[in-house]
Amino acid sequence: MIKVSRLTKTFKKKLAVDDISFEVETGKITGFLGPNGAGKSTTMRLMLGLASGKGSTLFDNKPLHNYNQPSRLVGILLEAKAFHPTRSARNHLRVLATAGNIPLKRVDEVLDVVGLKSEAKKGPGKFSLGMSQRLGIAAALLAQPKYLILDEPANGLDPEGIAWLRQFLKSYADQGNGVFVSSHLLSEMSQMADNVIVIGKGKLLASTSMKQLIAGNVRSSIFVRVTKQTTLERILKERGLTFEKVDNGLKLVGPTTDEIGQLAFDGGVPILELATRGGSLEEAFLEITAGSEEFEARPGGES
Amino acid sequence: MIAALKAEVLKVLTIRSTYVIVGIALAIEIFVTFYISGWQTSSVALHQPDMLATGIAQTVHALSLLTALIGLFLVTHEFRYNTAAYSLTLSNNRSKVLAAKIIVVSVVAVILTLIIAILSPLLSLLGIQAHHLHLATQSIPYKSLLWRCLFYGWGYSMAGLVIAALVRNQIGALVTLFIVPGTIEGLLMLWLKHHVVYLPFSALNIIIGHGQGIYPNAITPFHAALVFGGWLIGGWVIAWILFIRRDAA
Repeated sequence: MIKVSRLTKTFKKKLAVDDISFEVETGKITGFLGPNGAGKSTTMRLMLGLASGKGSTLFDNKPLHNYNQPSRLVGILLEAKAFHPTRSARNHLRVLATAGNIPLKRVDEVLDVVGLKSEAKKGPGKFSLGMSQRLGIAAALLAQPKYLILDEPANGLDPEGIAWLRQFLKSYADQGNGVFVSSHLLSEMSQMADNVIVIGKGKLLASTSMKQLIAGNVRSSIFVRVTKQTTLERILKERGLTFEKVDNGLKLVGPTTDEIGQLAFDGGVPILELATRGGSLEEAFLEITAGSEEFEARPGGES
Repeated sequence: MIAALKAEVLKVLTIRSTYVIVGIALAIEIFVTFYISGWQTSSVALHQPDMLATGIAQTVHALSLLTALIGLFLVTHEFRYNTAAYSLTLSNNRSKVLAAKIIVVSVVAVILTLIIAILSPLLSLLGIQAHHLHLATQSIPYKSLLWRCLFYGWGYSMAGLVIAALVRNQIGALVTLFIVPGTIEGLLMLWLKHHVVYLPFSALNIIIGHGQGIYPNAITPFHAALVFGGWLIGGWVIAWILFIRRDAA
């Protein structure tokens, strides 16, 4: 387990990470979410000892640098293009393998895993963002570490690459390893992560399981589509029920599908569609991080 | 520590700039020593008994800036291309990473300086022979010349490495390395007069024999080496403390 305790970091007078504590369990994928500028990358750097600050991070009860071979414990991907542009992909990995006391045969193995074997001799300077991410993932996997710490690994990957990454990380976690991954792709994260850490403006907003996060922050709703919508709207108003018009139908929070079905039947309104809609991670995320955005854009159309 | 050393060696050997720098250094050396000091040399120079010894010192003096770039790039590339994060998490001690860089750059600098120093008289002689000229009997103070050349080449590389570790930004480090020896210390000479020999690069120039024309008896090469060593140790202490404490970005 990675145990993060009271991490704090200030840049000049600005508090970038504010007393954050959480745990990353083995055998699970822990998603790390937060708006832009929330402090996700800084938190990851603090965890790895790459940034100085207060607090501690223990990997299986010991600081990372107390291990003889930290590479065996944690593999990292903090930036997609963290390589010299003219040093070939293979040589880049050879350097990292050598520094980490990792057998050089792993270099070709990981290049094969991420699908870059044919590009191994090329300088990665001209790699696309997706290819660069693959090289970064290969670097993280070199020592087959117990933990992976990945900052936005899906950025720039094509849909096939994202699906591969999801399956790969799930299988990696299933082997008893811990995966700590940040991403802006919330739908992807909702399919992948078991646990979620949410931060905003450097503060911890949530540290829980994915299911609890969604259940605790988004109330499930029902959606109904009928032939006589105005009639149904009148019936609902008479009953004091509030609704929202969406997707050529009505969204209601509170009543059950049975209740709405009965009301429609009693009012002689034929139903075309009636279903429960669960909350999404995006809704939960927006609910939790409301007011925590570092950079807030104007609504569409305004300039 | 062995892993860190091997990785630094691999970094130097797997990067294009290393070969470009060595290629440029050799091309300049061939042009200057074979053509200028050999083929095209003046009859006055041919009668000087220290012509080859002076040529060796001059070549090392001129080309050490290039060898220093290899050390400078070894540090600044880490920060420019964000590979420092890997270097500092793959090793369990930042000091080991820095020590490995110092050792590897030292070895590279000594080897390259040795090659430059050996090639210089050989290429000059080749140019002279090829042009059917006659060179006066030469007197070369091998021991003195060897340590002074090696110290100069190593010292310049160490200076480049210290500057890189302090500045980290590649452009900033390059500018510093290019302007401090000539421009800054040259301007300080107006104020410090003969005390300028106590500045690091002026002291280095004394060692190779290029400061003696300005202040011939101010300081011996041995004392100049001590002066430079003092600056280097001071620089390394600061660079080491910063390397340990600063964020790796």
